[in-house]
Amino acid sequence: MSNPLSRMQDWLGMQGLFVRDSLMLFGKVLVSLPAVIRWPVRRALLKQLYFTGIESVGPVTMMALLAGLIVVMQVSNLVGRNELLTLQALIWTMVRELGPLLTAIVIVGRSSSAIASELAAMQVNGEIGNLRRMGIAPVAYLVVSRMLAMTITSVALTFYFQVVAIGTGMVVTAWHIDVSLLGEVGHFFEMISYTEIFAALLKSICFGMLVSVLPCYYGLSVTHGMTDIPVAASRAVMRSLMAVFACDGLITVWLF
Amino acid sequence: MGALFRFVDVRCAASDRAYGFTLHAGETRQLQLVSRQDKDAVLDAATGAAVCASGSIEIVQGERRQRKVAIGKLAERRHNSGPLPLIWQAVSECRPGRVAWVAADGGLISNLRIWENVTLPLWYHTRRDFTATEQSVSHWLGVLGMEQGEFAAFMAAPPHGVDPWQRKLAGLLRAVLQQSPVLVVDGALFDDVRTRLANCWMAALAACANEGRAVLVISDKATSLTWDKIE
Repeated sequence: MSNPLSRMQDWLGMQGLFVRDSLMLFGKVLVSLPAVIRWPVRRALLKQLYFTGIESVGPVTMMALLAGLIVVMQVSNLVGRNELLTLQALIWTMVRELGPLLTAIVIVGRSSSAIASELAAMQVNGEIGNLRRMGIAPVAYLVVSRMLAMTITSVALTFYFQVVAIGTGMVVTAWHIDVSLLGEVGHFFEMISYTEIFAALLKSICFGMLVSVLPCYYGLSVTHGMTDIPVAASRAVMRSLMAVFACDGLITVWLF
Repeated sequence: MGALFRFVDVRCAASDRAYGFTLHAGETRQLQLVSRQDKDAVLDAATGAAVCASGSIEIVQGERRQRKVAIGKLAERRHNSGPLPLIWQAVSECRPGRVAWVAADGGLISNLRIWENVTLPLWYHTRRDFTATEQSVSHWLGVLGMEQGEFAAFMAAPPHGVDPWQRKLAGLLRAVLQQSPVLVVDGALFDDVRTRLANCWMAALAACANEGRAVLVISDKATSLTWDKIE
């Protein structure tokens, strides 16, 4: 039995390899981006946009409605009948943090596990090898379309989430504190800064890339049998979530 | 007849035997290897999916060589760069779209319908032309022995929704559609297929060769094909 120090060393080595390989895959995806002009890659991109984007609208709407309601009720309980402070808290939470974060969590839950399982099954069934024999680079065909689709989806759904959540928050505030809804909208545009919009955009782009490249990495790394498929899916979800939170922390520390 | 495909001292890691031959336009030949491992290695090397232990495979168009890959050197370079998973290594740049491959089981992608599978390599390597492709598919399906009334249902089906021989047929159709100068066929394609259908497919491959392409069947056991063997 190895000692704890040796195990720690092994674990750190594995993490280093994971980071190296993920970065290599990401680099390869960037190099393969021109492949998107090919029709089969575009078709795969459209399918992913539908699956990750359109089919996520329902869960994102529900979460945004509830998030807007909960934040406004909690802040109102804390600060009382203060419309401006409630609105400021709503902008801080929804634009800076919760919008990109909750959207990424929905995408991870719906799509990351699906992508990892799908690619792992393709790997186990020899379909990745089939693609190579047809002269089709698996990264260009499978990963580029997924990364682009999930990044576009992440940006679009984050924006949608923020609009629905902030809209709900304003309606609830107007009803709860009895203020003018139009006045609130005016205050919102006075309060929101370019830094906040930039942070939300940057976060949604980074999250979209992370939650697509990591599942692809885990899916394509499967080499053994069927039993590795659920393991790959589970690892993809956990690592994607951890990567999203780590990235969120870094951007927040950098910008605010 | 111009040379199309040339194996120069291709050696697989699995055995010591070296293979060297040239395929010309219009030729249909078969290569019988000693083991399945060798067959897979040569199929990979021929399609550009992987590398052999040594030697080179050249795509030649007429007298002008397209590009040459020194496979031995590539293997050495990849070996020195560490144990990267194969899927991240670039597909050999000399062959995409120039060698069509027919798998023993069709080699279809499970999350694509038959139509998408059949057009995948064609539209990946060349510009999409829907009308011309549809006409070509219709023509080749007839040549490959499918009834016209079955075309639409067959094309719309997922790979798991059709019979094994239909999956093989889809794989063959995918390769002949590709219009590549060389067709590499896994000899096991003709296993467990009715004799009439197998004859139909062999005739279709011969028709491909008559169009100026070269067809190479690679197997690891004796086949019923009467084509010239590569010794």
